[in-house]
Amino acid sequence: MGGLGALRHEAVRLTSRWRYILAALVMMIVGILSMISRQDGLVTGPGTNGFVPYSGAMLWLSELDGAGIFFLIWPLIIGGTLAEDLESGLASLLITRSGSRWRWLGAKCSAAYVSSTALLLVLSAVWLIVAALLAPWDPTYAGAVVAWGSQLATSAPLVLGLIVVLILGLAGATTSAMTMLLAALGAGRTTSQVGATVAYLGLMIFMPGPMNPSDRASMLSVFAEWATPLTTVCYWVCAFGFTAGITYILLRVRENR
Amino acid sequence: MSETIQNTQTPTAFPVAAPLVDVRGVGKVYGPKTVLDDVSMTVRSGEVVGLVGPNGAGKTTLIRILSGMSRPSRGEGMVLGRDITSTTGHVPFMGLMVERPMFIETLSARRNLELLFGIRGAADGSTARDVLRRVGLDPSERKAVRTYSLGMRQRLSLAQAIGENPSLVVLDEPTNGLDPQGIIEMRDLVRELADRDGMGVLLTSHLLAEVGAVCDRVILIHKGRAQRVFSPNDADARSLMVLEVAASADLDRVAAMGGLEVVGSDGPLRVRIRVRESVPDAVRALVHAGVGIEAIHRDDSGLERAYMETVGA
Repeated sequence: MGGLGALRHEAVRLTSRWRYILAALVMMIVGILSMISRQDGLVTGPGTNGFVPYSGAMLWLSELDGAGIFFLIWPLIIGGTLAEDLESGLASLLITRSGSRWRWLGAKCSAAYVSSTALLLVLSAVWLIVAALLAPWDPTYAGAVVAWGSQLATSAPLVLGLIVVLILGLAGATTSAMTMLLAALGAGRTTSQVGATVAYLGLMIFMPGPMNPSDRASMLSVFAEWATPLTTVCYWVCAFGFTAGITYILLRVRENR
Repeated sequence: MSETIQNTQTPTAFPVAAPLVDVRGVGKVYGPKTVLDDVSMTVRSGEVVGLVGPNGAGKTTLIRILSGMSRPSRGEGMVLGRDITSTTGHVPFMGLMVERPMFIETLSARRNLELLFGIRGAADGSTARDVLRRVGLDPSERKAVRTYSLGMRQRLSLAQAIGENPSLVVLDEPTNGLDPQGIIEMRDLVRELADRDGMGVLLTSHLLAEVGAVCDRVILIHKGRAQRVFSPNDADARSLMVLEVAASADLDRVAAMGGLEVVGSDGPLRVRIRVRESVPDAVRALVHAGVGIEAIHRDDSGLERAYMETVGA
């Protein structure tokens, strides 16, 4: 069992905390208000020029695209469980039951992905309903999206939305892994890792396009050749794997020094 | 802890003959600082071993090494069949009660346990209920853990440790936050874990009287070293009694009696004696000799004296 049971424990732990629920409510309301604020500019039915400049599909996809900003600061919203584990001694309890450190840490990383993706799936479903109520669902006018998505946006916008959700979940997991790394570096001091995560994100925002997490988290509206799903997934998987790997090594070094 | 239930599970399989913990010369160095030096100890099934010492003595470091959370800088040995110097990631299963317990605050105690026991997948649905009853918590209680008092959290933490019947249980300050009744119940439960369930128990506490009452052996750690091993249950300690006698008692006559040895006195009304033979025989002899006994009880201050001699020196 080990790994799966640890994943379930960690996922329930994350998703049952009030900060997670509050973050979900705030994201949902901000998303709905954002779509409503754009309602005035909508033209229902064929416009005077013979096309619909805004449609429910476009509202929905652009909202999903904008959700990336939340997932860049995801760990700052929900907090870091690794720091809590190290500070309280819960780490020992979980490791002895998991059977190994890598299962414990793997469960934490997996739970970070599961919790952020599950939340996005729920949010995207709510936003989808709101978008369909606010404007005609006309995938032909999905709006301007990055080259690789334009065809999918018109033929299967729900599939495109799902792809965005799955990739954004990786963004949330990666920033969570970064928080864990900082917790391992700071020997579990929660206060130091919040500041360090902000500094990290601030530094990354100034990086050029392909490396910039902000651009990678808003993959539909960045009109660049490099912003393909494959490179974006690779970007987040590599960043995720790197930070998780370094965290594991750091924890072992700390224990064995 | 008020209700005793039948334990239907046997402790996690481990060869009974082999010590659960058997380490020698264990040391830990952080940079230039030696926090643990040359500690050797064993814990066997059915045995309660206490670790006492002032804050910073090295107890937590030793527990971290024994529980596989840290590698020793020196020494060797096995814990539940695992080499403590091993560099592999495998960590054996043991029951751990950490000093600052943490739970999923929004869930009930039972749900917390079910999720925790689900990690190993070895417990059935009734395990959480049974262990909650055993530590004195109501398994049908649906209140979130965040509403629990310190004492209730401590009981839940104990339930986390002893659930799934581990061979070895490590309890770090188990009486923290408990009221006097809770302390007594905790003491009884710890003894029950060892005597009835055959678990090996290693515990730390600052309450020396409690440690003395529950442990088979107590290791005094000071400045990183195991300074003394004290056995509260050895013949010498068991035979030390305190007599409260009538003011008119002839203490010289008591001192002259066979089978008794007056080893100290806290004034004329309290006499500490060592009973060489049985306590009932000694009491009968005293009464027969005309010594008015107001009260008699075991002298539990032996560990305290040993502690002060070691640490206070």
